[in-house]
Amino acid sequence: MQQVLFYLQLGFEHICDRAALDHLLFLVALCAIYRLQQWKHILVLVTAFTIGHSITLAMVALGGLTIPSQLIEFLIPTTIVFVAINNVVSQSAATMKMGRNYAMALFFGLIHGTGFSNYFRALLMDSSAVVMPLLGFNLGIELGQLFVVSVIVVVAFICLNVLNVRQRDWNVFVSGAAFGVGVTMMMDTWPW
Amino acid sequence: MYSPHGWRCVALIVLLMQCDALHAHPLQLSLTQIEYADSDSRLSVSLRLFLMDVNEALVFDPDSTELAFCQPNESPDAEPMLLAYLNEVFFIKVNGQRMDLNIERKHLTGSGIDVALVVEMSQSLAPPLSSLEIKNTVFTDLFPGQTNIVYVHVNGDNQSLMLNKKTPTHVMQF
Repeated sequence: MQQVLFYLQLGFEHICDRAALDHLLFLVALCAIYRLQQWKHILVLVTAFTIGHSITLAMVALGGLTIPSQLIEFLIPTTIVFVAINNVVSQSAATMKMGRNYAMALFFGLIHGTGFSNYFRALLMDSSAVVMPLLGFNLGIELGQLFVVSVIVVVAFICLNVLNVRQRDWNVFVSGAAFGVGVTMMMDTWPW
Repeated sequence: MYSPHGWRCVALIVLLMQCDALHAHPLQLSLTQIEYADSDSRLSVSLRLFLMDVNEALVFDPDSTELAFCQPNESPDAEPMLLAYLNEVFFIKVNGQRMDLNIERKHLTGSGIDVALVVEMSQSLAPPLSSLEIKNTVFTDLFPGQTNIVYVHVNGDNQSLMLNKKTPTHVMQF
């Protein structure tokens, strides 16, 4: 149990850490077009992302998949840029095709999962006993993700409902910032 | 149509592009494994350190090939420099006595930017092992977010510790 809790803490801290800005920014961009009232959409979207990253995290951790870390580090900011563009092109949650959005969250979750697994593998001294650490780490990631999304939704609520920022302006502001940071990261991690 | 907000976004993007902290996150961690069993009467210690971090700490250049750890052309200074560094930032006190750090074996593992240097040390230790004090501040001066994970396996009892700049030492009683 101590082992599971230890890795749970590592997973939680990993996603909440400022150094995990790429994962955080993806979540920010993913939630940018939604209001608090649309919490069900957010929940389904985050679940799709979770399913995606859990699959690749498990596959890499259990040794079934190997992807060069340089490629992963480049693909993760690419997902941020793609989501940011999609937000602005689609303009609002109402006009966005939800099925496509969920599929996108699931697919991009697969990419982020390889990033999590890169960190997870680096935590293991002995790669023969993976299951319990993997369980704890993934749970920690999920809890951290829920915490981050809650913060994002609250900040959006304050901006949209208290400060009366227009939804469209909020979307452009958040997606524009995510796009800029994402492009910078892509340039920094260009693997070729 | 959105020009005022558009300009704000452009300004924000330019500002963010100046920030070094936005680079993809490196893995700021090291691993240590300490093993002891009464039946073996031997305390074994393995350290896994990212090679780029080792180079940064020893020769101030993460991409340096000067020391060439575990290569045929390994510098004669490499091991003494590493030991001198480790003696500053790392110790294990066994039953109150500081363990001498002597590298028995070392090898490289991983690929690309994730190449790690694994250093193995051990010393004989007659039972009982009653206390372990571990200090690990490896690379914490270089990277404020550095986490040094320590796995301790003593007579079948497993514990995991996270040491960092804030909490550099931990004492265990058995």
